[in-house]
Amino acid sequence: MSENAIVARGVRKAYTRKKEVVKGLDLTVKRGAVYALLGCNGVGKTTSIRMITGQLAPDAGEISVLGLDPVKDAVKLRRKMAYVAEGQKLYDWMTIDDLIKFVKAFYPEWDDKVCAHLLKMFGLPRGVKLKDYSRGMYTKAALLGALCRDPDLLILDDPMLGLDTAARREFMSGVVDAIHEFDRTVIFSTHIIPEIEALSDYAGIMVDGRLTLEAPVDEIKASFREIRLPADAGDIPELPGIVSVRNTGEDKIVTVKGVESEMTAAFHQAGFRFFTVNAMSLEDVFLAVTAKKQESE
Amino acid sequence: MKPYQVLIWSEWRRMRGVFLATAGAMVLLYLTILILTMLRVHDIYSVAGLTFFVLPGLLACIGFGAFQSELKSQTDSFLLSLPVSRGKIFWYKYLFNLSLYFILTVLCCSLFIPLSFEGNPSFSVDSFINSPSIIFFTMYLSVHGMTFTAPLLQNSRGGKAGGWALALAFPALVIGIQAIVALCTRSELRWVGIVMFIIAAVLWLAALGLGYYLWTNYLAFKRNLMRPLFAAAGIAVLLSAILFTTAYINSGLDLASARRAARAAELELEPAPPLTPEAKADASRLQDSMQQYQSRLDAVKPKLPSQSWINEDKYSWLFGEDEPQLPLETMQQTATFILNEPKAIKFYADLVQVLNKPDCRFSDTCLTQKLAGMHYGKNLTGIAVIMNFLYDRAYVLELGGRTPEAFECLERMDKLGNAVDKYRSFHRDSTYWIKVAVSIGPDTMAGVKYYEKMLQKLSSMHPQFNDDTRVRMEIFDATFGIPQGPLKSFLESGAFLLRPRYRESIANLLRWQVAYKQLFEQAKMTKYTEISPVILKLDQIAPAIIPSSAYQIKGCYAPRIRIVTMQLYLALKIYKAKHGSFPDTLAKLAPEILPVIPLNPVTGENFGYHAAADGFSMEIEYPDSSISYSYHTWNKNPDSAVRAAAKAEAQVRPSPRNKRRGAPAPELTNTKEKIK
Repeated sequence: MSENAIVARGVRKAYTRKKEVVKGLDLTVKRGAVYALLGCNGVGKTTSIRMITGQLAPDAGEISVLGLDPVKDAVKLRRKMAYVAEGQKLYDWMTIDDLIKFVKAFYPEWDDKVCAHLLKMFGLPRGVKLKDYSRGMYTKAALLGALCRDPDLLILDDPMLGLDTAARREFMSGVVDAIHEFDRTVIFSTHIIPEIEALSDYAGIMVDGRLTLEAPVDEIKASFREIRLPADAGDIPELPGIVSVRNTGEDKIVTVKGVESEMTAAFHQAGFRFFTVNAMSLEDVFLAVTAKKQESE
Repeated sequence: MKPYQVLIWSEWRRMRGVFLATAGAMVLLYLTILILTMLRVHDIYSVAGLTFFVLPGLLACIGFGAFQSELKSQTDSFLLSLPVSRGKIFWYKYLFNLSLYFILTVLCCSLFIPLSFEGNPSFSVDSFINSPSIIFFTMYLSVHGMTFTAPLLQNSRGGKAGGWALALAFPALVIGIQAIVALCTRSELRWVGIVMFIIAAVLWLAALGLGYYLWTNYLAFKRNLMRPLFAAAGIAVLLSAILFTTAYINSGLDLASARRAARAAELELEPAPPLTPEAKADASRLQDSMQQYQSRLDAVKPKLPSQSWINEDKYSWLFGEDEPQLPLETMQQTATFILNEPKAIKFYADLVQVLNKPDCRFSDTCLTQKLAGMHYGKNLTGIAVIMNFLYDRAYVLELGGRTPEAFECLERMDKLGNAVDKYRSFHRDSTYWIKVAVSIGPDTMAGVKYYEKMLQKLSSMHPQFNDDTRVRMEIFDATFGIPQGPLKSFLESGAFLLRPRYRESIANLLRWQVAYKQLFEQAKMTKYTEISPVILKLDQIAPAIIPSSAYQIKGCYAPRIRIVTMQLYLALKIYKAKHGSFPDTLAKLAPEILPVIPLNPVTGENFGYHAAADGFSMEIEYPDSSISYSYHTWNKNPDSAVRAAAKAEAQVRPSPRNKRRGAPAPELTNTKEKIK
């Protein structure tokens, strides 16, 4: 069995001739890892996920998910994989029990104990139609349907999209625990990073249809530093490792990638005397990486 | 639960609202029509056409919902995340919705088609139900509704345009299909129909394939299929136009050839088969009776104030109002004779005796077998047609025997009769003619045109031919009189109208009946044994499936019951004349008046009979278990107390037919007064 749950190489997808959404995606997700696929709206996250789940066929490139071809072996793959789509819609006329009955029929390995446990953990009211659930509960119901079937791979495509802050917290309060307990591969596609940072083992940042950064989260956080300079500091020379430069008005913030001591030395050599070096959160790194791209455009 | 069970369950939960609403609307519509008819707001039950509006409506309701609701509510991604192939989902949805559609179709047909045959169907419903193509028609439309509409409307880019394309194509296809059916079932140019049928089948398969492709590929891959869809819609419209035009042109073809066929048919007519000595004796005896009656009638005639009295509603009970009538003249003669002349009893008894002979005995099961075996098999069309025949045509078969020739006569008679109605409506509404032309096809149309010409000639010679009722009776009569020869071309041409023989109505009827019996013997009913037990029991099963068919079955018994009760009434009248009072029991009629006491053909038991001082009442049980009480008084001054008691007893279970038919029998004493 391969150590990678998902391998994508040179994947491309265009909806029309002029509009290519995914422009050569290379992605690797290790088995058992929680992978955060990050990116702004419209960079091709959902299209990539839909290709990984077999709902879209790629125009070029190869994808292997759990050793299977997502298009040719779609049914086999769906048996091993669970997918909660962006703004997932369920049958509104169903109650949570109806939903469980419906989904359970397709999965012989459905785990009633896990189901009961998750029902309790998520606090989903029974006997109420799904259409009467709050948005957060609705998404939890979709997640419950995905988790109880004991999949080898769980893909959550921006499940928090459209949720307000309260609903997002409500959702995350249950989901974080559930994903902690779930020891299989998880892909979490989102652009709301703080909530999933602690969960994720790996992160990949998509910019304009490509994966520009893919590494373990700890490694990302270790390799990126924020150098804060006074606003009147001179122009920043083109040093190797600089990812982006921002001017906030009060400060000039330079995001650098590399070994901290080497970068500090480089800045000293360039004539900067007063600056501070800060560690960065995953969100900061994401913003810096995506900002660079935006600047270059 | 298994995956397929939950898929079907979810489909049902999603579609049940539409399904129940549609079924409810249909039943409401049915009840409305029924009530309006009972209130005499409408005199004619011509609602057959409704099926043509209701069925496509159902199609739209059911077909639209199949995929569109899934896509509209965006649950498709959830469904497609489950481990079941897209193809399976497509077929589950398709077959489930198709079955819903079929259920509604059966409901629609069972409600409206029998209802429509109560009166004059003004639409070409017979062209559909007389052909297995209704199955094809249904499937074809269903497939289109579902495969086109659903995947189109869910398309986020161009769904509206696709919907418009479909909206244009849909009615065109319906018209095209009508044309196909007309050509396939009516035209002599069968190859045209066959080609069109193949085209339609290809279209259907293409539509199904397109729907499958859309669901399994397009939704996933988001390729723009608007061009092929528009092309498909365009082709559909074009083909429909071609079909329609072809049918239209064919419908008006070749009046001259019809004339030639008529002449040829006249020449080729064969003489009637020789009569057996027994049949000769029958015919001779009956003719004697008729002659005796005729001479007495001639003596009475000048005294009659007018002929209109005989048409009054109170005499309709003698012959029934919705079974094929004997020629009016014969009816008048017979009615007058029965009412006024004791000698008529003998004539009528002879008639009944002939009808009662074992190999002429009416049997609905036998009829059902024959129809099912010969024409339609076990399908739905068969049921619908059988119900129709049982109801309306039983009497004809009763009198005409159950030979292939009789059936052919009936078929042609129906065609021509309907065609005449339709052709005549042309004069009222010119747009209607197009529908007529499409629906009745060229052969019948030519026959009708020829018939109309003949009618004009005859009308110029004999003014009485302008009477529409009479015309129909002539057709009926003439059909009876022609059991031999190249019947098909002869009847199609309408040339029989020129033959003088049709005037010898009742005599011919009896003669040919005997001849039929011989043919019947020769055939030895070999075909009947080949029918499956399901069909054998159809008359019992059908009411359970289609409640309204009980009327049809009752209808086929009604003439028989009427003949038997007529026999009893007359016998009772003779008994009263001889003994001064009615007998205590029916048994007293035998052997003095009747050789044996006839039993209720439905139950096989004696009729319920209660004598009173001034009359009697009888219980007549019908096949649907409803009991009709009839009360008769034969004196000028009936005992009002007895009459009131009998009326109170007469709790007839209401049914539409009872309501129409169940008027109390006329008081014959009053009638006599009126006549005098």
